[in-house]
Amino acid sequence: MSDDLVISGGGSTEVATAELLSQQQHLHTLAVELDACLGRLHTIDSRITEARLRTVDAPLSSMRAEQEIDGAKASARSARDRAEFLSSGLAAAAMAYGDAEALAGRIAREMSSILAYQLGFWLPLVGTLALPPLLAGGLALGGAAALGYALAPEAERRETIRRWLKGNKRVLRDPRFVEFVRLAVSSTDDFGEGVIRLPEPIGQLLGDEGLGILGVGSSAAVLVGVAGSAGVLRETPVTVAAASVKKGPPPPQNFEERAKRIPTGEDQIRIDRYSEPGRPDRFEVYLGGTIDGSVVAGSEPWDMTSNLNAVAGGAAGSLAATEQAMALAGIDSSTPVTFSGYSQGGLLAATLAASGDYDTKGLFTLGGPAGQVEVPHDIPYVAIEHADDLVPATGGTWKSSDPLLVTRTVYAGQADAGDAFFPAHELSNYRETARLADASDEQRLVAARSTLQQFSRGTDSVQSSYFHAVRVPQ
Amino acid sequence: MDGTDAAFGVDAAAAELHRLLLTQARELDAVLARFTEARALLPRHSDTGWRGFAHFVYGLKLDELGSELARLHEQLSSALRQTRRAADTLGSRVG
Repeated sequence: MSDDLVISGGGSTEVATAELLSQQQHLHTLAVELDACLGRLHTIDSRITEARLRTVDAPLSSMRAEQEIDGAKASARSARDRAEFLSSGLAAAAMAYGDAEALAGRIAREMSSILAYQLGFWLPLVGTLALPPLLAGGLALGGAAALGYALAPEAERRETIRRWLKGNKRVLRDPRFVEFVRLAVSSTDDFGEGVIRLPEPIGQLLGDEGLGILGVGSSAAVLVGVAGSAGVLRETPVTVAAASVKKGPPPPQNFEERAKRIPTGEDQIRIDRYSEPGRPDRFEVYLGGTIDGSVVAGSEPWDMTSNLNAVAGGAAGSLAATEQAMALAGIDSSTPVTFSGYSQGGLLAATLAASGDYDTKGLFTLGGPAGQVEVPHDIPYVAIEHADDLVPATGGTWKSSDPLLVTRTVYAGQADAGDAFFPAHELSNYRETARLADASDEQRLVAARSTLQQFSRGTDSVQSSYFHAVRVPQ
Repeated sequence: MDGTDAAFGVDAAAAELHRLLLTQARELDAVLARFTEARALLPRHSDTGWRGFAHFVYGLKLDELGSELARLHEQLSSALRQTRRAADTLGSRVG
């Protein structure tokens, strides 16, 4: 497993490994300290002059001391310059790498948009030309496969998916494939624009690179709409009830502790209330990940229906459930609140923070597909993603949010990554990355950790509530 | 100025130098302590994610800086030792 973190964003174009940025800061501090030492040596040296030493026939050792001080001044000056040179070099490298990466990302997004548009534009024609020869065989094969899949019992369908995922595990966690998915997801709107023959300049104007009216959200909305007519991904009302209320542990002091508070059981929502005499109560909302992978809504709101509807910007069941739980906990639009979420919980957390309906003081996501959620830049936002995790990539590229992004490739170059289908998406791996982020003294990470920590400062007592949400059958 | 005055003047200057040397020793000790703490900030390895030539050059520059800091440490330590020795010698003269 790799422990290397890459830090980017958070209002800066710097992109570098946490180790590089840490070394850059250490070298800068070393240069500052050496400069201070040099200043003190100048002051010391100015008090005892050679003339004074000669006047009193001073011991030879005092002369030697003066020579050593002169030498120390020269060494301190040289070492300070070297340290500053190295520090500036590292900072410049990080900045240049960040700029290059941003440019490469922009080019990749634009290329992907153009390709998707062209594909959508020409596909109907290619389809028409190729249809007759392919129709018979294609329909026969595809139809048989689809029919077989549709008619198979639920258990068999799950087994088919399981087998496919198992057979393609290595590809699915290849960072290049993950990046491809991210770009492809971000280009779905361009593909659709091509299919409906929307003139390219208008498509660009309406798309992510223009006004942002069309994008992943609108594409997901189309998908949800079409799927809904087939009886899948159809939203339902939800109900929420408090499952337990107890005295909570002290507030989290770092990213790892925050990650550990994210619920993993059947109660999907945890809300901690911080009380302090003379101050209004503050709240931390923790949201778990997807529990049910089925596309047909059952009783579990943390399912694929909610996932897709949340990406589409619609009324996802899990989102409605969280809003209900927050209201039950006593959170309104003026209550200071922070959100932390994993996977679907991360998407919900970002959506709630971006809604403007709450007084959001901080946002912390782990593997959340929230790239297209427009979180205001004044909300402190830390997002942890794994480069070999497909799930956050399904949220598309970062549209307008600028979180402090901590990226880690968990299984870099490793052939065996265990039995899980998406091992890099496991919460345990995200908790480990959070721990590594805590261990880093990279400036932006330190500042973000401190900001999130300040939210709970002065807390007198903590009350932890768990909420359980279910879908109401229709 | 007679011989007594001159001797008194030299003794006073020696006493003043002794006082200055004691102050210098104290201050050098403080500088050395601060420097020792700062020296620990020097990265111990050049593993920043860089590879190839950039990694090699960075490692080389870190080594050079490490040598420079070692020299500075030796000079400060020596300056402190000599200052204390001078203060002791002069102290026995001025009483």
